[in-house]
Amino acid sequence: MPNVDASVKFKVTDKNFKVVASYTPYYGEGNELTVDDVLRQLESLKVTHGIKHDIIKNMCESNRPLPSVIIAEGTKPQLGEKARIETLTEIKRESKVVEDKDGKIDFKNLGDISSAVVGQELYRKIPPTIGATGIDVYGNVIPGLPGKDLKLVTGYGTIVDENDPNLVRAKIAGEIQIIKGVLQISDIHYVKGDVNYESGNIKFNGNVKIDGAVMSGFKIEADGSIEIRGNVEDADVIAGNDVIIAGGCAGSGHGMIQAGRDVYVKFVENQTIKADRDIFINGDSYHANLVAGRSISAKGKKSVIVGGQAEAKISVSASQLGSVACTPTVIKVGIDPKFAERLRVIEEEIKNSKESFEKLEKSIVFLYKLKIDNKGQLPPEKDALLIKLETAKKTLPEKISTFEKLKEELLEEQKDIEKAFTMAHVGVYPKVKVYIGNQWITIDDNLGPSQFRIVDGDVVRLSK
Amino acid sequence: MPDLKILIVDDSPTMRRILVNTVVKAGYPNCKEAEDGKDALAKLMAGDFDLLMTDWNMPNMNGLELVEAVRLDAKLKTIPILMVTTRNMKEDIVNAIKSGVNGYIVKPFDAKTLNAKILEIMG
Repeated sequence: MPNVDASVKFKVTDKNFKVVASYTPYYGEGNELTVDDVLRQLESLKVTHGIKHDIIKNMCESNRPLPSVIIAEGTKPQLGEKARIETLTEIKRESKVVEDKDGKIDFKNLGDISSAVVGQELYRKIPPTIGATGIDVYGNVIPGLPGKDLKLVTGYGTIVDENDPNLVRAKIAGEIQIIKGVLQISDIHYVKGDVNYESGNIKFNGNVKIDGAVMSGFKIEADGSIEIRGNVEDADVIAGNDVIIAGGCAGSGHGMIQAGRDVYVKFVENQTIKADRDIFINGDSYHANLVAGRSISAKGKKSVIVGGQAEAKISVSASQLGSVACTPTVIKVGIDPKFAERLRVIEEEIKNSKESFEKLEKSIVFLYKLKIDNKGQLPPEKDALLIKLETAKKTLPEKISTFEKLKEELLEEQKDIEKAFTMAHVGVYPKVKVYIGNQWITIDDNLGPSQFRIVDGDVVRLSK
Repeated sequence: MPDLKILIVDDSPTMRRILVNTVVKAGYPNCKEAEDGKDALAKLMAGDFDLLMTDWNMPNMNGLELVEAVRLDAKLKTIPILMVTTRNMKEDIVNAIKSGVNGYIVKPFDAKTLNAKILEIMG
């Protein structure tokens, strides 16, 4: 075999990130290949980056053919981090059982429902990042690659912030829920079943719907309305708007239903119901304490209000008031149930302001006496105090006058009792006491359909 | 003028009570009391009175001294003053007028006389 010189051939592959050499060793008296020979050849190809000197040296010392040696390798650009979602609010209701000072656990309070207010930050998309740059074998800088992006999805009741396209806020107030993987805000909190030790007490900024009943000792509070499909035992149900109870409301007098607007209930027994506007009973009321800002009406041909007290500013009506058993029953109309409290607050303000005025005046007189004794001079701090007290005193007469005007208006409003009435569509029984304003009448006989109004300052029964 | 705010000055609590009752009876319910001239001056400075009714003989600062102090005070100098006293000598009345009172009434007096005097002073 003739003598053969050692040789090498190059192939640039992998999008210029690799130089693969094919090496043939010398044979016989042929010339060997040096590292410098290889480097010169690479230089002529303009390969500058990632040259593997050790490998070239080993290759050149090889006495057998090497068909595929990677002698230069670039730095590949890196992939950035993929986009992700960062939650900015607590989402799930967590059981936060609280122990009292004696170590007893309150199983009724299982922590608040996670709810959002309008505009609250809910979650944010953290955009993908760009990976590190790479360099090919020719020394060219290759930009890094972006991570995988994701689409920002908004659920019901949420909205993308107008100034930040990656931020999602609550569009409405309500409960934070995850439905099919998407965060949503629901203005209704549903309880599937009864309110009991499983559900715990409910407190929610929105409306509450309960499929079942409300057990004794539990409490439901909502800014909006509360709708209950079952009965309510000795529980507290407090709503900013309406309370609608498809069932009845019966207990031992330890519960309370309270509504910022109206209460609708099928029947009431031995319970307290307070409504800022109206109470509608689709049946009977037995031994209940009913208080309404406007009216109380027990609907139905046989509806009764028996025992307890029904108090409303405008009217109380039912088919029957009282019972054949002569159950003491008090009906009051013509006075706003909140009147006494409002009057008390106003009168207290007037009293406090007048007392403050007197105190200020005494202090001012004292300082003036001091000034007279000191030939018209006061130490600077006392002079400053005098100015301060006189300024404070000046504001009080206006305050007193405003509250006195409010008191007059309130008292004037109360005079308007001619519109107030009590109605029994079928009959009234003995021991029913009907108040209109401060006047009252007690029923001694079984009476037929009756309407009670104030006439010439007295409570008068009119035929219906 | 039922809104008239009157300051009644007398060192005798009984006399103050009688004066207040008479003033209220005369139709001026808005009145306050001071026990001597100094107390009166401080109360006048502290409040916004429309009329000052003062006794003559009092400890600390007597009626005449009070009148002079009021007339020398920039803020109070225009307040009408009615001197109420048992001193009925002509020279006393002249002295009082000289010191700056607007009217003079001799005790005892009834509500009607007082009202006429107040109306005269207040114009």
